[in-house]
Amino acid sequence: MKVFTAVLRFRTNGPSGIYDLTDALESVVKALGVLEGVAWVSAKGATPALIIASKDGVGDVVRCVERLFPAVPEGEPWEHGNAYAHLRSTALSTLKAVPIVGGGLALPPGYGIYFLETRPVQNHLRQVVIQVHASS
Amino acid sequence: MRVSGEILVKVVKVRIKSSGYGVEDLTEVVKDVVRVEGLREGLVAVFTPEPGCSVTMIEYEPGLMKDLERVIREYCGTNPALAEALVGKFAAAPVVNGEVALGTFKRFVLVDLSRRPGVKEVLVTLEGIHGGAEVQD
Repeated sequence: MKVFTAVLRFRTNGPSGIYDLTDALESVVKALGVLEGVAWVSAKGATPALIIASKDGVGDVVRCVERLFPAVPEGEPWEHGNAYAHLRSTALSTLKAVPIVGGGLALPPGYGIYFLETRPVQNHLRQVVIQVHASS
Repeated sequence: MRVSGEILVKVVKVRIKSSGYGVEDLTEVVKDVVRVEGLREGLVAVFTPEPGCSVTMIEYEPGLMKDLERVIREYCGTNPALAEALVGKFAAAPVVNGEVALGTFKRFVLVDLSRRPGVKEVLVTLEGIHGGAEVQD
């Protein structure tokens, strides 16, 4: 049994910057030569989010959480200045799992795993931990 | 980094005092379990089997906890079953070289809307390679 850990580091701009991690995740899995297992993907930090969606649908997911947790809510403002960023992160989660089947990611065609930057940042360093659990 | 060894799954029960309506930061307890059980590389998952309680990941800051309560009230009303399902019963994070990889502010948080004060059970599941592993960078 093996556990393999890799860390992706990249810079983001936001709010609502969407970064496609699919190729990077696939590269890690291919380089390992794992045929069957699970890839856990976890974004460090309390405000980003990970989304598994179709390339065409990921923007709709982001617009949905923007509506659910607006930067400026109706009525009273948020107690915590950027609560909307935290709540979007919590609702979508910073952790996803993708099974590895036949040496590749078991995602439907046209689907990917995306990192969402929720904060109004420029050139912000983010880290995503990829952990592959496999029997060989 | 590749760590080889036998993948073990352990479940550790922890008991958390709760007012019955509020939030409790579970992070230090979870980190202690990871350290004491010696999980080297793997995943730590936190689950609550308590009715009306959820586990999530969020910064544990009083203002933000009020904001979380506000959105739960707005979207779930007073029905704890809705909040339980939407906030979720489970959260998890990778463990890398014995450390829980959370970042600076993210915490494991128990959200208790049960209105039943008392001791609440939380299950910490450790899955991965424990101490004494073969490491290859």
